[in-house]
Amino acid sequence: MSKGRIIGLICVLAAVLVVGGAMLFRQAQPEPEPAPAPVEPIEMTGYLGGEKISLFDDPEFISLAEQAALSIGYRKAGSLAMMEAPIEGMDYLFPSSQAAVAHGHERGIEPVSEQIVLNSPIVIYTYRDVADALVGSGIMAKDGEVYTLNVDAAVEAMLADRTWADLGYTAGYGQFRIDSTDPAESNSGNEWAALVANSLAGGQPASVESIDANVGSIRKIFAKSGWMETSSEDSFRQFLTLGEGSKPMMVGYESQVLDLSVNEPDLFAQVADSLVVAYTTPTVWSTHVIMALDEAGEQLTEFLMSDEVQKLAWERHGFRGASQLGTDSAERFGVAGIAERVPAAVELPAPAAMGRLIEVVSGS
Amino acid sequence: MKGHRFAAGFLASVLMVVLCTVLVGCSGLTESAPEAASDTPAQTDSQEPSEVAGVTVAEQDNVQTFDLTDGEPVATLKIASGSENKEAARAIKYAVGATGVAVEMHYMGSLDIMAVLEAGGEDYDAVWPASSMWISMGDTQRITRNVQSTSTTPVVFGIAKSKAIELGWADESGTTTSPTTAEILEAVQEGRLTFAMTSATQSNSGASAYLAFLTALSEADGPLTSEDLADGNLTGRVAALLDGVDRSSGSSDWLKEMVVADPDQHQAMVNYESLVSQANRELEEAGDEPMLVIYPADGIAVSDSPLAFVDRGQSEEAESAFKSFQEALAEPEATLEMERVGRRTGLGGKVVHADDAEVEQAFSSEWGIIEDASALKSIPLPAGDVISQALTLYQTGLKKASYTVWAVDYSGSMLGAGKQGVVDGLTQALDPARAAESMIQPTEDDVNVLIPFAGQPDEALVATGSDTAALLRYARDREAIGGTDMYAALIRALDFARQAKTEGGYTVAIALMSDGVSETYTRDAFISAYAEAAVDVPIFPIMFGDADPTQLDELSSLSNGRTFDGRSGDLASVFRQVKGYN
Repeated sequence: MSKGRIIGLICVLAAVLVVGGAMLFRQAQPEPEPAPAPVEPIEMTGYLGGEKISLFDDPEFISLAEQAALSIGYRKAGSLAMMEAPIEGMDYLFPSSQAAVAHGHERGIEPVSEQIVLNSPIVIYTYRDVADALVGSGIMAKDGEVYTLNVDAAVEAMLADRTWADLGYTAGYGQFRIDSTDPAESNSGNEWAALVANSLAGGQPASVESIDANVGSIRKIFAKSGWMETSSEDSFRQFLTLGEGSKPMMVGYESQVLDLSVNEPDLFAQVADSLVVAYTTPTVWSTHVIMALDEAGEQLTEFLMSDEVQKLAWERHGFRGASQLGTDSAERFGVAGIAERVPAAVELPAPAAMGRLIEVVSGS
Repeated sequence: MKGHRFAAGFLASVLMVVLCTVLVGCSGLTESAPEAASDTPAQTDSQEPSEVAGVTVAEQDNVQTFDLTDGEPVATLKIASGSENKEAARAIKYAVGATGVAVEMHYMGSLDIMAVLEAGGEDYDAVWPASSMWISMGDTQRITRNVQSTSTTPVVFGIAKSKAIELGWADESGTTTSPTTAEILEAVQEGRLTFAMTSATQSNSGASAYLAFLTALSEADGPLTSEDLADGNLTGRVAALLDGVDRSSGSSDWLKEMVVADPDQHQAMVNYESLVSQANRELEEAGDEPMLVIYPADGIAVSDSPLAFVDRGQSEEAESAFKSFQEALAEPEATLEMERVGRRTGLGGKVVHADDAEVEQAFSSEWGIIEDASALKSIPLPAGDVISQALTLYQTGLKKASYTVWAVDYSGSMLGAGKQGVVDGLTQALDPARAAESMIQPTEDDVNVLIPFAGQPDEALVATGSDTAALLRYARDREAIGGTDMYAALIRALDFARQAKTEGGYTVAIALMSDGVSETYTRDAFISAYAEAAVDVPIFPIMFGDADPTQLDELSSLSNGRTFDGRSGDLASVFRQVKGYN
């Protein structure tokens, strides 16, 4: 443990002592007036995936929680990382994938309950001229305003070292590639790797055997990206900041652009006409599962499933609810090409196969 | 009910205060009070717009402090920053004025910022390098948060207009073509082009350009790989391109100033588009010819200038002060100031305040600047381990060999701590293993010459390649005794430098370290010898002890070099920094 960490830990402990002490002090005080006792909020904390922080920090979310007599704290952690972190004193874990939940089970975490509360499909972010240029190649398709990306065709083109120009996008530099986060670190890259592995397995959920048979192909596809970010938020920001000339295509969550359109409208306005959200065929979902570790965690689950929170999560942050639908039409966001319904997900590779896949991409 | 709420609120407030006191006590925030610049004369810019009035900027060494003119700041953020952010001072001033959050900008190279993160953030509250890659590579402990790009600017060639026309890459109107990297290499090999460029292992602009050269010349259509780095044909071509480097440096901002100070000698540089724009403003003010921005057709790298919070257990106040400062930098008033100095603040490299007259000037098409973002077609960045390998390869094999003459003061006053500092400094700069830690290790073709001096210069000792042991022994064994005549030592140093220039194939520099006021009997002789030699050899004086800044500054300005101040900090680290300049 580094010196900084130790100091940090001491600070946290000191803070806990002060809060605890003050609360004891407060409890020991006589009520200042004999008014009806207010409901004591239930304090809780847990590990939260970074993409949901904007929801948890939303003043409306906090006010809804107050009304429900909940005081919800969090610590930011990656979906896989939180399963490795110490969970003592934690009331909940809130990762963004089933794979992470399975990993937690393997690590001996036994939640009192589990519930899918939010969903967001994995999408490919790109730009209109790139998307339109690729329609002819069979990689992209357009149905009305909604674009889709055929994973099999994309995988095939990457394995054949097609350049952007070969595929019809003459302004592109170098080889056709789809950038993602590092599959070993971050959920969106991880699920994209699963889609690639499934495609190489002939459309079946990839197995340890099929992954071992396709090691070269999998590495080749991820080597095309070179640099990979470790967080989905950072990589979406990079996609926007650097733009089409640097990042023509990037894997992300549908919720990211919807959140941007609501919470940073000026920024969104700069790309509203050019940004394209392409749903993958087949689809894969980022599934946000709340793992309640105790009674307080269960209260949080109930709260998150309430109509008000489901509505807020959709309207202001673009998360689809447990049903995989928004609480109303996606037209509310004014983002072109958002599908009302996204087809059900493919089956992901089993945990052992996912583990092997991460090893392969990381080079071991 | 109301009374109860009030009491609860009061208790909560007390609790917060206690909590904050505890947390602030734990953080380094209080330690970073802006004392660093307290002994320098503060200057207030009278031209600043009214809404950011009340911010005072002071500068000492590599630290620039932005503080409220009146009153206490909400907090003070200590930021490890790339030197190019000196040009963003007006935007920073706005953000400080708008939020009441004071900032200390500690300017350093990208590699140093990476090292800060690797070391757990030291006592910094934030990092602000020129590119995200330094954060991602350095942040192995996952201590950064809220990473956000503040602006973008591509790394380009700036070439004097007449030179660009002569090379066939521009016409009189300033309209440019985009040569391929192979065509640029050809011009270098034919002896028609030399250029200044920062060291790839010390500065982001140099590293980005170098990675772009490698990627473009590999002609592989994809990101650079380890196999590419093992390809002798590719590395040979990149080495040939780097032979065109006529001046190196550890800082992009200083490189720009160096070119502006002597445009006849330096007709081209690799630097940020924004710094070429700034250079042009200064060149035209001085009545000199501007440079044209040349975007290589196949190899651009883009700087995205990310600002990130460093979480090392400070108070929540530190993070919320950071957030408000970061948000203020994204406000239109701040982005306008960024674009006025040639940085792009829109998504995808767009210019968002294009209708402002100063912004229009900064992105002038007469300087070859293409405001439209379509010019920014960048190389795919290689994976982290490939970047590290490429940087090591640069330092040990591909960079142009350097020839450095060290003239070091061994007068009586250097006895003790002074001499120890010199010996440590030379060791950190020249001992292959120690120098490798800062990626300044000597290549096999580098030459280092040590000339100890007091009242007279001693015999020079020449070390070729990485075998610097004898030179370091010489430095250790020489006794500190006698008077100070640095000019006599410089005359001898100049002989070596001139010879190296004649031989060719080196970037040549003289590092002069002195701790006292020099005798001046030989001053005029040196100055006329320097003029007669007519070689572009910078002198990098290192100030120590009671050295006379006037004497040293005269030398750096005479030779278009730079004075380094070793008086207040760690002398050894200044030697290291100087080595990073050559």
